[in-house]
Amino acid sequence: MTRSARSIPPVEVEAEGEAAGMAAMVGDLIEANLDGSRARAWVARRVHGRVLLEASDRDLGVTVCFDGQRISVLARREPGILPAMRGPWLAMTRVCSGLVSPLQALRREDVKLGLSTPLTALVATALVMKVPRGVYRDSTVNEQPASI
Amino acid sequence: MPDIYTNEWYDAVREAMNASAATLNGVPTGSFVVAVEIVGDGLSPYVEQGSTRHFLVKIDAGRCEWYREIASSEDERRAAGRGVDYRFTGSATAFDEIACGVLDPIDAALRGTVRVRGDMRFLMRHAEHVNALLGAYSREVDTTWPSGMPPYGVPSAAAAASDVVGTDAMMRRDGESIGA
Repeated sequence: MTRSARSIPPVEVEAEGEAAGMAAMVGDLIEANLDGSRARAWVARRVHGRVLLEASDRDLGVTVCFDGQRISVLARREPGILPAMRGPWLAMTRVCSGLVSPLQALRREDVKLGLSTPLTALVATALVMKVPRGVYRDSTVNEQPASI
Repeated sequence: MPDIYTNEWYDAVREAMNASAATLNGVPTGSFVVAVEIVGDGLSPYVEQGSTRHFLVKIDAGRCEWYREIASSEDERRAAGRGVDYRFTGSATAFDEIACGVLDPIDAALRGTVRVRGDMRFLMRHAEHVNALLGAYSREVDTTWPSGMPPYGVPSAAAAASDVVGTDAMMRRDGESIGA
């Protein structure tokens, strides 16, 4: 089955910019999550908007853009007031990988939200970036090497 | 103190990584292999310009089992005994700067100075472990630099690395090959 047949929106990553590596990591993460979760792909197809993800301890950020057809990850902080999730990089990875729920992270002030419209994009970003629980059967890494 | 990129240095890095990993809880119980590709950029005296040095690092149950140099990427599967889970690619200057503590390895990865490929879900799951290993690599080994040490001067590691890993402005992720 092709990707389009499964309605998985393509993920495009800006290869140049101050946060090119962070953009690549976020893009890879989202792509893997969409591949493994119909619910995430369904949401990603229906959301329009931009969200800023900022690694506050690194002074770096990326902008995730949804346009209903694709997801673009820009290797920079787009100007303007956007809904945002900010926090130290390691705190962001804990939320993305499900070690800490977004609510827990907010309560502990590990991460902070910048609220702006449309909030649906922020909720969608949180969903498509969070690794589905079933991916981690235990704390082992993937048993099948990626052959990269 | 061992010279950079010698067997003694690899052993010292391995011991530093393991000392650091021993302080952590929740390290991954499985094993993974990381390929490191260090590309000569004309600044570092340790990698000839235009050539690449290849390394493999095996992490098992959170500990570095071995860290070794191999002749080429073609030797990866034989040397690793399996496929490679992650691949770190960057300029020799960037890796030299990381090894001597001038360049933060996480910054290098986030800025794209060192390109990281592989399954990000697991890398993020074990980010604190990876952070500890990279910190040991960067700060915990007293290294000697027989041909000189960084900073080597202009251009910076970031600029040099962009020559190594630079690509089109936007990359379509689906179908992208990240093989050697």
